[in-house]
Amino acid sequence: MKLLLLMLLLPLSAVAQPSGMRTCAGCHGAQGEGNATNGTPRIAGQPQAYLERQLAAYADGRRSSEVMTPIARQLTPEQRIALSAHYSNLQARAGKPPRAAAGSARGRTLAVRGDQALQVQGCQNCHGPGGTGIGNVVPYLAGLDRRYLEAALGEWQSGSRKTDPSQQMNQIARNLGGDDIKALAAYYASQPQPQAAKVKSKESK
Amino acid sequence: MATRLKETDVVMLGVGLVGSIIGRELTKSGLEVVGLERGEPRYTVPDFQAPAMHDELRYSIRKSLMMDAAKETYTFRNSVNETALPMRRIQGFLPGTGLGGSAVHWNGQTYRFHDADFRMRTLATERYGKDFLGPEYTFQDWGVSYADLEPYYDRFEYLLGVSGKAGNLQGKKIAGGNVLEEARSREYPTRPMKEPYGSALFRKAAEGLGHHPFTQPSSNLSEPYTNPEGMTLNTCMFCGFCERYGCEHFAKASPQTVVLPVLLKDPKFKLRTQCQVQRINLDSSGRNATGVTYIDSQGREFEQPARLVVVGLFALNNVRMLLLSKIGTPYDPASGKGVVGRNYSYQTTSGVNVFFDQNTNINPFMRSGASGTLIADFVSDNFDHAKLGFLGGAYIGEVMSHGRPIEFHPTPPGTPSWGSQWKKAVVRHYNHTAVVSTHGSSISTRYNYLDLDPTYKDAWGQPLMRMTFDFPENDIKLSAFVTERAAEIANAMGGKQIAASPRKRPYTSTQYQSTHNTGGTIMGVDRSTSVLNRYCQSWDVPNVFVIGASCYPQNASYNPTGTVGALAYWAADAIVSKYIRSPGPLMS
Repeated sequence: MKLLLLMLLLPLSAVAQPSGMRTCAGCHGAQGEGNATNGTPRIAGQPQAYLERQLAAYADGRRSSEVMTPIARQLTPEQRIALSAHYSNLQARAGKPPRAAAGSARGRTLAVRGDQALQVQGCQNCHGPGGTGIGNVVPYLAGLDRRYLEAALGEWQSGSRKTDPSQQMNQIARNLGGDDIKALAAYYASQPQPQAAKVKSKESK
Repeated sequence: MATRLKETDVVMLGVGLVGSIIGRELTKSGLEVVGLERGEPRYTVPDFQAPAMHDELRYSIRKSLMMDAAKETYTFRNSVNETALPMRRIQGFLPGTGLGGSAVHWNGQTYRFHDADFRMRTLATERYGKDFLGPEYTFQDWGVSYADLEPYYDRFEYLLGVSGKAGNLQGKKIAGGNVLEEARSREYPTRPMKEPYGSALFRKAAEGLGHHPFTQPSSNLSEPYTNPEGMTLNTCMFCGFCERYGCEHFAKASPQTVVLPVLLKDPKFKLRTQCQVQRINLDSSGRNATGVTYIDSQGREFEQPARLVVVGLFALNNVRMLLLSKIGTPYDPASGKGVVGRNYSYQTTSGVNVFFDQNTNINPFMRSGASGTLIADFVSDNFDHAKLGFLGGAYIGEVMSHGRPIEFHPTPPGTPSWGSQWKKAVVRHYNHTAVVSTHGSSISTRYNYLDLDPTYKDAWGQPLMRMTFDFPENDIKLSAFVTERAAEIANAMGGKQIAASPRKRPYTSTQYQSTHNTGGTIMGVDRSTSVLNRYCQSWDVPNVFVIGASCYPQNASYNPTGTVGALAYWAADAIVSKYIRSPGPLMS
């Protein structure tokens, strides 16, 4: 009875396996846990709106990746929504965070405090204390792969990533030096991953 | 015994908006400037960072960024027949303290006044006759016109990076901007802010009634901007913690984000914080300032000699500083003579709550300090007052700046003010209520004024400032009129119910209405009715300049900060291009 009720309440996509999922699982893992050997980020439990926006951006060029762009272009808007809902509702096993890498003390300073001289505010203003994300839009950073985080900041810095209409992320990345980007990525990669998908799909009631 | 320090060219009282601009302009011209700030130094990082900054109890309720009322405060009464009492907690307005002053916690609403505001006596007399209002109204001309100040408004707006859309570009009217504004020489530096949903409903309703809605000009920026000082500001994130808070994102224009870092690098500028200035010192002639005396955080007394003194404190404190220093003749309400403390005015505000059904989500938390849409159709002298019996005006707009949980819980009239029914109503209405505000002018009268309190003193033993104020009849009529217009728009917004609250007497200092205190050291061209000449220079002590909203002979419809900034550049220009070359009175 309880299961039936749950199935009625949850959107269909969260229960059934959406088409296209097998492709994702190839790199991001069966539970969206990411892949440490090739630096594919964990996507389980990321906010649905955030995931949808990334897929749309890969499809229309606001974000580019040799792997993700062709995949996103093949997905229909309905598939993108279904996949985003699916992964945002997943609770992947929390992996063991890597030990704090060298330079992550500087990373912690930038994350929780910022730097006045560089005109960079603390990451946690938007990404939340511990880098666990806020609401349905701001992704978590905690426990993401270090190489992925470095690459993402690099995309913001070069301007190839255009998914932040406020350009805050582009500004911040431009103000950070290469060593600061490495330190930040190392710090967040060493933080415990959020344990549960906090943000459920409840756009409309 | 005061320690006498080395003489400097200029001593600047207060390092807020005015102090930072003046400091920058005067050091650029080669002068050595000492800036004395009563509060603490503070910067975007680490002092304004969230989540610590998003503490509503600490910053909104306990007012952590404001003047510490345990050390100094104001006394208040509604009329000369009452005994003024000190405000133990300052509720009615927000006098900032600390580096950057009130321009750290402001909302960023940035406007220009009209020529009809600057030349109010002349133009109102021309249009409505000499005796339109009674003799108790002491409104007067500023001694400057809009045309005089336009280049300085422009400089100030480009310093801040104000986001907006011109509606009158060199006389050419542009739809979508404020077509009723005075002509501006160039477009705003950045694009207008995004429009929240409640504001969009307001725009549609106001347009339907034939008004001219436009997006509020905002100093919380819509896009990244690098100003002429080389400072880069970021985009506002609509976090909902603007007024009463510092901005964590480098997105709100404040001294910290637009000029202070440049100024502090200049070896000609010396910043000293936690310095409580006691008085400006005069020589035996009483016509020349020799510097100031201040007490530092350890209670040590210093004398800072200076050739020029610039006062840029919170408006009320500008007045108090002149009174404590015995510069200019204090105003006497019985005779109407004297000038210091004369023409204190405020801001006449009111609101209309619009209660919507459960399907209309207003999302009041998703706001910025100066986001929203308004109309200028009833601002200043943009409409005919002949049959109305009052002067002045107001803007009307859906310009909510936040929906914070402690401060914002609108309920319809008749709701109990506490208990389970109240809680139920708050839940029911929180996300489904828009507020249409009116922001109106305040006329000066012979009865409203500022002086030193005869009884109460501050922590350093100096008399407190005493405020004597109530809303003049003119402004009560104004509020009734504009609140009716606001209610018409509110009714057209599609809500189920509206509740309008026009301003009523008496003014109560325990309810927040506006921080816009003006007058008391007013500027003009006649020394019998003004403290300062048209360059913000003291008539009595020519090496003292006073800059701020205390210079306004009466308050206008719009928020005052744009004009404070323009006056700072205007006065700085007069000091650099006229006064330094030939020290002495700039007007006789």
